[in-house]
Amino acid sequence: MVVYSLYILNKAAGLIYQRDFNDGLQKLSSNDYLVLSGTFHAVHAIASRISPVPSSSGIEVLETDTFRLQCFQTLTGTKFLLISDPRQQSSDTILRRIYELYADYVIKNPFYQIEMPVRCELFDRHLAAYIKAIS
Amino acid sequence: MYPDPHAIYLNLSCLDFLLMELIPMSERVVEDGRIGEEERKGAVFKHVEGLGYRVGQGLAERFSQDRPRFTDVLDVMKFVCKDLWQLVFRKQIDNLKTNHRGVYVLTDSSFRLLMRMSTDVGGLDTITRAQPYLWFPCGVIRGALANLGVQATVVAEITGMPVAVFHVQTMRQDN
Repeated sequence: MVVYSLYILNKAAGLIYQRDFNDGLQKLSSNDYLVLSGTFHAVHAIASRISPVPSSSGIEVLETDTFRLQCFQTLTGTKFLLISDPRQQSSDTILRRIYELYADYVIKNPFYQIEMPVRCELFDRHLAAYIKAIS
Repeated sequence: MYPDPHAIYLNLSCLDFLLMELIPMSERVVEDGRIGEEERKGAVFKHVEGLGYRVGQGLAERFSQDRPRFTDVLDVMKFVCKDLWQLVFRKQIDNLKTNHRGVYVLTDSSFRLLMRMSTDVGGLDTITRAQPYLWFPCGVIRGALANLGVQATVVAEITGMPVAVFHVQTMRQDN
């Protein structure tokens, strides 16, 4: 049950939150993270367009030998990307719980401006505690 | 607690968001380029506390309906701490202190309005910025007390997130 990192993208494909939970990961520059998120958003959009089945919801899971990327897109257009171990089960539940934490400590925080980078101490704290608890 | 057969249920998050937006809205309403920072803060305080006052009055009216008469000021304070707080914030006040000379200190160690607040700087900055969000509950307390016959002034302070302390100074002597 190993979660590597979490990315949160806003409606405009901007990266509003990025957090690594594993020390063994390669450190990228903040610019690289922005490029990654922009690329994913674009690929996600392309995938939902070229899908043979109409009204596709876009990329949900991306699996490789070394990691598994799960994308949870909310009805408001915010994307939660969870990068974890390939054998990781229940990424779904984890993402839902993270969405709950996001709704509680980011959206209900009067000092947070919607669509802006997430800098909320309580969200960081609760997220860290949750990820620690499930690892 | 007050079973009302005609009750309609509403999501609690709506109240959270409404109270959150109350402060920026009041700041916009009060906005006047000519007045200074201190005066503006005072005007927002008056506006928000006034709104709370009216709500407090109404709540006291509505929810003291089936109660027996209040014996003294302490009884009224207990009503505020237990019943009123339970209604608005879904919990009771954690601590009530008095000096038996008309001053009461109400402590809520996990105040609902403060539970979700954090800034990126943290610490003192959060406390200063969260201060306006206590003005509405101050008004609620003052309005409820006033409607139940107790004139008082109410101020609030945050000792540390999310602990909110309300200082109630009643006008009458409590004997």
